Amino acid sequence: MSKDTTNTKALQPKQPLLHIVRRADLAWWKSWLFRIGAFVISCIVCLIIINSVTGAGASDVWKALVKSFIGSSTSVGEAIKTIQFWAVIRETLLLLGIALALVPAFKMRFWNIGARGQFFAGALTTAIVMKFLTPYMSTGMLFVTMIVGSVLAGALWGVIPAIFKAKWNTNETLFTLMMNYIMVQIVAYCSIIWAAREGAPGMGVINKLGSEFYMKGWFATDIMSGVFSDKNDMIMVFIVVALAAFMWVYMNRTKRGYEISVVGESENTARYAGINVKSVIIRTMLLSGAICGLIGFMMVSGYAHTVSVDTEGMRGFTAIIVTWLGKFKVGYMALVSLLLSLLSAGTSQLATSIGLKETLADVLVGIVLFFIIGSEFFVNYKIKFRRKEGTK
Amino acid sequence: MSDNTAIKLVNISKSFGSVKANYKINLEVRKGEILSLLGENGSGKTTLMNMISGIYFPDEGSIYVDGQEVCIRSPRDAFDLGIGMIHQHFKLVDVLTAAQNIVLGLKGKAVLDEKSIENKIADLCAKYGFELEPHKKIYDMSVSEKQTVEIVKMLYRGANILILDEPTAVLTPQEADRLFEVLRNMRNDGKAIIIITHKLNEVLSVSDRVSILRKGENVGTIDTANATEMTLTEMMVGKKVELDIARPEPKGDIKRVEVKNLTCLNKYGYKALDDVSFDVWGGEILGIAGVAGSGQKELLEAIAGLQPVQEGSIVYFDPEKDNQPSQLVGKTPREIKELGVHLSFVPEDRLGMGLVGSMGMSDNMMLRSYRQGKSAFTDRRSPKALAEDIKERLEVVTPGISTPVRKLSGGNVQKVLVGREIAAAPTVLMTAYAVRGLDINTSYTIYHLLNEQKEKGVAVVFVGEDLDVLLGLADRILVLCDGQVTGIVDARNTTKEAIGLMMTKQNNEITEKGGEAEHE
Repeated sequence: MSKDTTNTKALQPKQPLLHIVRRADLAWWKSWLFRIGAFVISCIVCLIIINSVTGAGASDVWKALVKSFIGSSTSVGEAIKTIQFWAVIRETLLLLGIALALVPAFKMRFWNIGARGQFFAGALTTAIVMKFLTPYMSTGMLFVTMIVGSVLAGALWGVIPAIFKAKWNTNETLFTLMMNYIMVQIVAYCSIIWAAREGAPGMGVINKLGSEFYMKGWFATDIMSGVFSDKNDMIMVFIVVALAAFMWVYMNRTKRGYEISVVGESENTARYAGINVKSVIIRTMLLSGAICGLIGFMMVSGYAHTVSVDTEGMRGFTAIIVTWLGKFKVGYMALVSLLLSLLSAGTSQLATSIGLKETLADVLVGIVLFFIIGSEFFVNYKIKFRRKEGTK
Repeated sequence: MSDNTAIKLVNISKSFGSVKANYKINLEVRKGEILSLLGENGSGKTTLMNMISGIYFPDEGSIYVDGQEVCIRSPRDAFDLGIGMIHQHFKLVDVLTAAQNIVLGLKGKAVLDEKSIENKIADLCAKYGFELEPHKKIYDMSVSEKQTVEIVKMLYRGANILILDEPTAVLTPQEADRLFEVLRNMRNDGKAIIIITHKLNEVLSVSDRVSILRKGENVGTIDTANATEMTLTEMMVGKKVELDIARPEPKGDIKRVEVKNLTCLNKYGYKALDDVSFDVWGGEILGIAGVAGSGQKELLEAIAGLQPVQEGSIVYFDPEKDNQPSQLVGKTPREIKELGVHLSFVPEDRLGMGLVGSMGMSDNMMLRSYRQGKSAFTDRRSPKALAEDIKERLEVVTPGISTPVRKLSGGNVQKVLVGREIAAAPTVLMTAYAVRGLDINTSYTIYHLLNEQKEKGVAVVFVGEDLDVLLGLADRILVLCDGQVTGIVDARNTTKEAIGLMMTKQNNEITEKGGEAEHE
C-alpha cells in the first residue's frame, strides 16, 4: 500500500492528534485517585503562583493555612474552641444548608439558581420580625415566628417561578435569577429606610435581646459548654445535620422523592406513570425555597443579627457548585462544602499573613475548583493519542 | 486491490466503553453494485457506516477510497471523498424548498443561480428516475419525498458512494419498490451503494452482495444469488430459528374496549386521529398496521389517558364488575387506574417513556406500583422481588437489578418493560413496536408472552411495522393511514399487498370490504 497519498484532495492521511474515548465504568478508588490527583496538582500550581508573587515557600503557606483553621492552638481540645475553627464550620454549614435546598430542585432538573433570593427572603423576614415584634413577644414565641415567617417567605420566593414554569413553561433559570435581583433590591431598600442612624450603611445590629438569648444557648447545659465554646454553632450543626438526614430520607425513601427523580429523568415517563408533573414542580420548589429561607433565618438570627445586601455573600451561587460537585449525595456535598470553606478561609489568611492580594486569593480558589471539576472529564473519558507511524 | 473497488475497510474497530460496537471488520464495496449490510439491531451496522461518513473516528483500522488510504475526520472529509450518507432521520430544513436544501452548505456565489441549479436537479432526476418538485417546501412533503431530496442532495454534490440507513423503515411497500428502482438505476451508472437493513426480503430483491454483521463482527459476505432467507437468518442469528409464529385461536368473545369516533390533534394542531372507531375483544390480538406516524402513537396514548381527545369516546368494559361500561375519555392515567382498569402499556419510546433510564430494574418496577399504600414511604421490598423474578423468568442479562437500565441492551430493556407491564395482570395490554430493534430470539420471547396473555383472555393491541409479523401474530389487523381507519381485516385471510395498499389508501374497494370484516 503506497504511503504517498498527500495528493488526495487536501486530505492528509494523518489521524487527528488525539481523540476522546468514553471510559467503561471506572473503579471507585481509581476515580478518587483522579480527583485527589487533580487537587494535588492544583495545590502545586497555586504554590507556584504564590511563590512567584510573594516569594513565600511551601512551609510558610502551610503554616498560614493551619493558622487559618485552628489559630495558634496546639492541641485538639484547644483547636475546636478557636474562632477560626468555628468560622470554617459555620461557612460549611451555610453552604451545605443551601446546597441541600437545591438538591430536590436540581434532581428534578429545575435549575433553581435563585437560592440567593430565597435566602434573602428568609433573612429579611427574620430581621423584620426581630426589629418590630420583639417588644410584643416572649423570646420563644419570637423564634417560632421568625422560623415560620422565614420558611414561608423563602417558599413563596421559590414557588413563583415554579408556578410560571408549570403553567406556561417559562424558563426557570432566567426567572429564578431575575427573582434574585428583585429580592436584593428589596433588601437594599429596607436597609436604607430602617438604617440604624441617618447615613449608616445598614440596619446595624438589631434585637440585642434575641442575640443574648442565642448567646446563652437553647441547650443550656454545662456539659455542652465544657466541650464546645460557642453554642450558636452547635445549634446550627444540629439543624443542618437534621436537614441533611431529612433530605436523604425524602429523596431516597419517600414516594415524593421518587416522583421527583422520575420527573427529572423524563416528564414523559412521569406522565406515563400517572404523576402530576405540574404539582410535583410546584411542591418541590416550595420545599427548596423553604429550606433556603430557613438558612436565611439561621444566618440572621444566629450570626449576623442584621441584614444587608452582603449578608448572603453569594453563597446561593457557591452552593450550586457544592451540589454539582457533590453529585447530589449528602455526604459528598458535606465534603465539598468543607473544602470550599477551608479554601476561602485559607486563602484570605494567606492574603493577610504573607501579603497576597485579596483578589488573587479568589483566583486561587478558582484554580483549585477548575482542577477538581476538570478531573471529572478524565474520570469519564480517556484521551487516545495518535499512533506512531509504522505501527500498522 | 482491483480498480473496481470503491471503498475498502480493513480491520476497523470501535468501542464505546466496554461495548465493542465493531471489531476488526473488513468490508469492500465495488463500483456499480448494491451491497446490503444485514444485521440485527445492535450488531454494529450504523456504527460502521458512521465511521465511513465521518461522524465517528475508528479506534483501529484503515479505510481506502479508490485504492488510496484516507483518514475521515469529519463529515466534510467524507463529503470531499464522495461519500454520502442518508440517515434514518432526515437532516433537512423544513422551511426551505427542495432545491434550497440541496444546495445548502455548498460553496458558490452570493446570489443563487436558481435556473442552473434546477436544471442540474432536473437532469439528475431524469437520469435516475426520481420524482421531485424543486420548489416544494420540505414541510409540505411526505416522508418518501423527503428521502428523495436527501438522495438527490448527495448526488448533486457528486457522491459516488451512497449509504442508506434503513431507507424503507418509513416507506410503504409501494414506495419502497420505487426506491429500489432508483437504486438500481444508480448502480447501473456505476455508483457504489450500501443499504443498511434488517429486512431479508429487501436484501434478496435489491442487492448484489450481502455482508452480515453479528455482534460487531463481519460474519461473511455472500452473493445474493446464492442466498435464501433461511441462510441469511442463520448467519444473522448464528443458529437456526423457527420463523413461524404461533397463533392460537382467539378465545374470548367479550368486548373489552370500544373506541367510537375518536378524533385527536397532534402537538402541531393537525388531526392525528380522524373519526377512528373500532372494538378490541378479550382473548384476541388486534394488530395495528400503518406507515410510521399515521396516528398509532396518539391512538394508544389516548386510550392510556395521555393524549387529549377532541371528540369521541373510549369505553372500557370491566370484567370484574360484570362488564359494566366506563368512559375513559377525559381521565388522567391515575384516574383510569383508580377506576380499576387494568391497562398495561408498552410505549414505543422505552427509555423515554416506559422506563427511567438512570434507575435500576428494581426502581423501575416501582414506577407503576409505588403509589400503593397510605404510607409516605416507598415499599422497596416487593419491587425488588418482582425485579428478581422478571430477571430470572425472562432471562434478562444485567449485572444486577440495581444497574441502570439504560446500560442494558435494547432487548433486555424491552424484557424489563414488558415484564413489568405483564406482571400488573392487565385486562388490556397495548404494545407499540414491541419488537423494534430486538434480535430474533428476544422477539420470539415477546410474541410468546403476548400469546400467553391472549390465552388468558387479555385484550392485546399490537402496533407493528413488520407486516409479516402482523400477519403471523395478530387475529385481526386494523390499518391506519393519515389518522383514519382504512380497514379492519381478518389476519388469517389477507395478504401483505392488500394491507400495503390500505396503508396508502390506494384501493377504496379493499378499504370498504375490509371495513366490513367482523370479529368472529
